[in-house]
Amino acid sequence: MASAYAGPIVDTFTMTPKSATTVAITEVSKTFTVDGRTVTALDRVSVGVHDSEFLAIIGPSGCGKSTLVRMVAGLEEPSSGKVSIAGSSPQVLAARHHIGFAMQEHALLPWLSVRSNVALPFRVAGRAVDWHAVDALIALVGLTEFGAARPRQLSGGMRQRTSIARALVLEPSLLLLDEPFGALDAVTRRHLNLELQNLWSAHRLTTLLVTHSVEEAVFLADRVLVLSSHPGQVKLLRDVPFGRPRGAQTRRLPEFRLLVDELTECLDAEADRVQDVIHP
Amino acid sequence: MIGSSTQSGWAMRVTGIGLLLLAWEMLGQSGVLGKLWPPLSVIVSYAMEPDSTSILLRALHFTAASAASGLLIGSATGVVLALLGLLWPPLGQGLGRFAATVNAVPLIALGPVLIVTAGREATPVLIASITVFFGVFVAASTGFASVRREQGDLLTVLGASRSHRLWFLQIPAALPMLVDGLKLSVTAAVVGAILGEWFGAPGGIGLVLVSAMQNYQIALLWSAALLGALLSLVAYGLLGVLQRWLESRFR
Repeated sequence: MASAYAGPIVDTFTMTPKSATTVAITEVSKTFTVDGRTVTALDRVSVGVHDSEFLAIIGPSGCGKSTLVRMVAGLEEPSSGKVSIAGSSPQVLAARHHIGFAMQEHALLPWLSVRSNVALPFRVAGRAVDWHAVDALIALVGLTEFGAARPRQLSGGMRQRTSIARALVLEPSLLLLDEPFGALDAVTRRHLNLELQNLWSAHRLTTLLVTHSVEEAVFLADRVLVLSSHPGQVKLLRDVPFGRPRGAQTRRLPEFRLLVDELTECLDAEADRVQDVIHP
Repeated sequence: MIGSSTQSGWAMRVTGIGLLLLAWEMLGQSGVLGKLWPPLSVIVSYAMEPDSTSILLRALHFTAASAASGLLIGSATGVVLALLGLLWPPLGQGLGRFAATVNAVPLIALGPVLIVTAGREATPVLIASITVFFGVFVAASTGFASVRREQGDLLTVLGASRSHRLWFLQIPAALPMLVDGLKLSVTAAVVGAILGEWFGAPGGIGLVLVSAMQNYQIALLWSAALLGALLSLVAYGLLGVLQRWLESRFR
């Protein structure tokens, strides 16, 4: 049992190796102007994501964790500081169709079937659709029977599975997940955590996950970044020592519970501090 | 459940229309409304006479052609301008104001001007185009704007070009609303064409209406009016079918 988390990482890399994709977030700040007041959402956040590493970001709501991942996606610009991916700007990587992206809103196109939704990144990249890859991914997320179904015919969990398959179909060099399971019930969520863990252990692509679930972060990530809020700053960066692939038994390990408790306490202390800041 | 409720909806509609027609017939027969309000049967049998049928069919053909051309020109203009506004937002704002101004001009005032400038033949088509343009422009602009933020974000992160964004996201997202606008505009196109003919076009239902009115041909006047209403209803119904299909396909 113990070897399940302490043993060497099982190498099951199946995809074409790409050049190393590291993310460097350097001294990134983000300020917004609300009613003439300047609000600092992120304050000089620096963190690096190694090649083939899974980094999870947790923090109280409003700590700017979504903003951070949206900056890595090139959807927002830092007010100061720099985000670079493999030495280029996020926009350069996006233009090369190297980013896989899934968020809380599945953003499936309602007029397309599951298969066509998963195939969309090929079309957007101006490449011929590799239907073999599309169907293989749909099978991997367990939706083979629903390939012809339209998004509104699916449950919330199935839609998220579809959007994760879509994020992976171009074999991206960077995977960005912004609370992809945030709107799901607890059972479905654990289920999809397990599926994503299996998928990830097989592909090992550089991944950034934003979540408000400590357990999800610990279960999936190699390292967990805790952000404080008002303003969002790096509070803690913690290694997750469990080997892969991880399974239901990983969650039952005492070390797993201890780490979850430690990070939860860190978040609770943070929430108390924020209460004091807002209502001194 | 749904099937039976639609069926009862249809039954209600048919019954309602039937009752209306029956009331019309009885009122006409009783003569309480005078000679100007003939019973429905008199109008229908008049319209069935070969001479009047040929007059009415020619008028119908003329008006339907004008309305269809107007629908085509007006909606094409509306869609193209909405597209331009989408691709270049500063232009979009100006176009919105331009469209509202065009819509504010009373067509009844525009008619004589068009007769003089564009000619008697072209006026019905032009007036139909103008009435269609505004509705379709607004519908298309609203449709393009109905793209959800997360869908736009996704295409950005996937590295979509402007044209791919338009083709894969904005156009399909706008289709249901666009057809909704077309459905509302098609009746306006018929009214616009008839109004244009009224000002002196060489043919059409509008011309028959004017001449029947001036010559006191009550049965002809009524049949022409009914024919115009029928044309509107059929066109509206056809676009309704298209709209329902698009709704189920694109939403």
